[in-house]
Amino acid sequence: LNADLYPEKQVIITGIGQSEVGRPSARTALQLTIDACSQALEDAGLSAADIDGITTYPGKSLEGGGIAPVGTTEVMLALGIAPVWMSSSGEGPGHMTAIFQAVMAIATGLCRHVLVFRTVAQATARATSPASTLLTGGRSRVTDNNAWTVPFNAHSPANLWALYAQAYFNKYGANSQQLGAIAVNGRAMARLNPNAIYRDPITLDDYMKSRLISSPLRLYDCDTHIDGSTALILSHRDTARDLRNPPIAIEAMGMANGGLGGGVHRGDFTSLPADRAGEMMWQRTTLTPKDVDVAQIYDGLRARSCARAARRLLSSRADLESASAASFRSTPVAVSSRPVGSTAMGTRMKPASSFGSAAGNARSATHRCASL
Amino acid sequence: LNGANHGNAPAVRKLPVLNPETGFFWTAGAKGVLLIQRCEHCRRYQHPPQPQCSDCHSSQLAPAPVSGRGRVASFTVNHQPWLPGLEAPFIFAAIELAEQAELYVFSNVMTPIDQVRIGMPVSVCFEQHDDVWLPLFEAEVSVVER
Repeated sequence: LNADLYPEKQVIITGIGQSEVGRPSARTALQLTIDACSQALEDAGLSAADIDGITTYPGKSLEGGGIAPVGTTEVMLALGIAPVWMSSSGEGPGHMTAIFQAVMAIATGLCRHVLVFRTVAQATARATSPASTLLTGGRSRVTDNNAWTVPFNAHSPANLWALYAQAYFNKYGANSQQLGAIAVNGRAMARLNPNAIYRDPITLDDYMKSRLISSPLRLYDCDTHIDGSTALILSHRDTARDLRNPPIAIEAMGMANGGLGGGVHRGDFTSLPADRAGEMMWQRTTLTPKDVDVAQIYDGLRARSCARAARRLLSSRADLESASAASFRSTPVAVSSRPVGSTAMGTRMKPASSFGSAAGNARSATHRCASL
Repeated sequence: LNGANHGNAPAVRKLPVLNPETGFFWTAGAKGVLLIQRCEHCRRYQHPPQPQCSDCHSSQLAPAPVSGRGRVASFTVNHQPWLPGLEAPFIFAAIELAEQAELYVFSNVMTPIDQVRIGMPVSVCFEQHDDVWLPLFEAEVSVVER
């Protein structure tokens, strides 16, 4: 492959940062964001003045639910910088949309170092904002996408994802014990993460005794609202030698959108746009599923049902139980899946000296995998 | 329909806004019929309604009556009382209408929760709230039983 023809192959991850994660945090959403961004700058060995682009997902929203409490303008002002490019959108396949936008800003030559962040303040919002959910009383009516599900009291993404889980169970014979294994594994991994909210291990028995939310999904299959922020710095590959970290190259990316959030679904409820996102990603690399060392799969209540998509991404090596077990061999693959869209991104470590050489000459090594 | 007879009817509903594009879907139950948008050019149904046919791109679209029959494509038994007063458990489902493959309507299936299965034949019924007739579904009664 000619790397010059792929925007993502021009881009490296040069710094990462994460704020404290609280349920809730005493710090404001903007403060958490600046904590994460400052860490990422420090990690990269850059100063704020080096940042010439900022993007986030989904962009500032006034909906009050804590899902988009901070926008790029506030971060620009707080950091005291004057980037040439700022953009964000909740439209697109999901969280990694911000990374794709940053990749394109860098590959077109507009920016050299783009700050990408995601901040949520849902733990604070659920306690303080009556607008944090649809669950307010009164006679107000629902509109747009919500009109197709909320009148039938499907108030949560858990209800929609449960349709996928049930269809998957029915078609492939999977069961709750297998879903539970993902939750048990997630807790075991959380114990290694000092920033995790729930770090006590659970057993499969605990999982099976946890209450049903929307069958077959149980309490331990579901998301937890938190306050926190994560930041990445994406840079042009030409800057690699100047920076502190060994660069993490973006090897390939893929994205696809579907319509479930708008009430539209295609297929038999066992497939997701992740299939297409994965196909796009694999078309843009000489790597194959057998090269994958770590699969980092977005693990809200979504991973339950995107397990098939992950298996497809990873060829036949992962099954429902091990798809999130992060036990593969060399290249991290990040998969993010939501009702409306899916993204996939492969990264690999490269020594700085390999830049400019053919991609295949770079020696892959597992270092870290960052995903929003 | 008296949902209480089924033992799983949510007493609380957040109703949809009625607008020129989608209002027919929510009000046709007043006449006991389920209407789905259909392309008058290629004859495909589509739901939710769109400004043009997403297949042939014709703008000649109109609500068309369908049989109200279908099958449960997938379902979930919701146990979480998301709203004050919401009675659980109840069934939320994707219904594949008989007229066309992958023509889905989200709804509630008003049968006892231990009887619902993927593939189960269902037929539409309506639950009126103010100016909205929510299309709900129940297990199809066979001709012999009827």
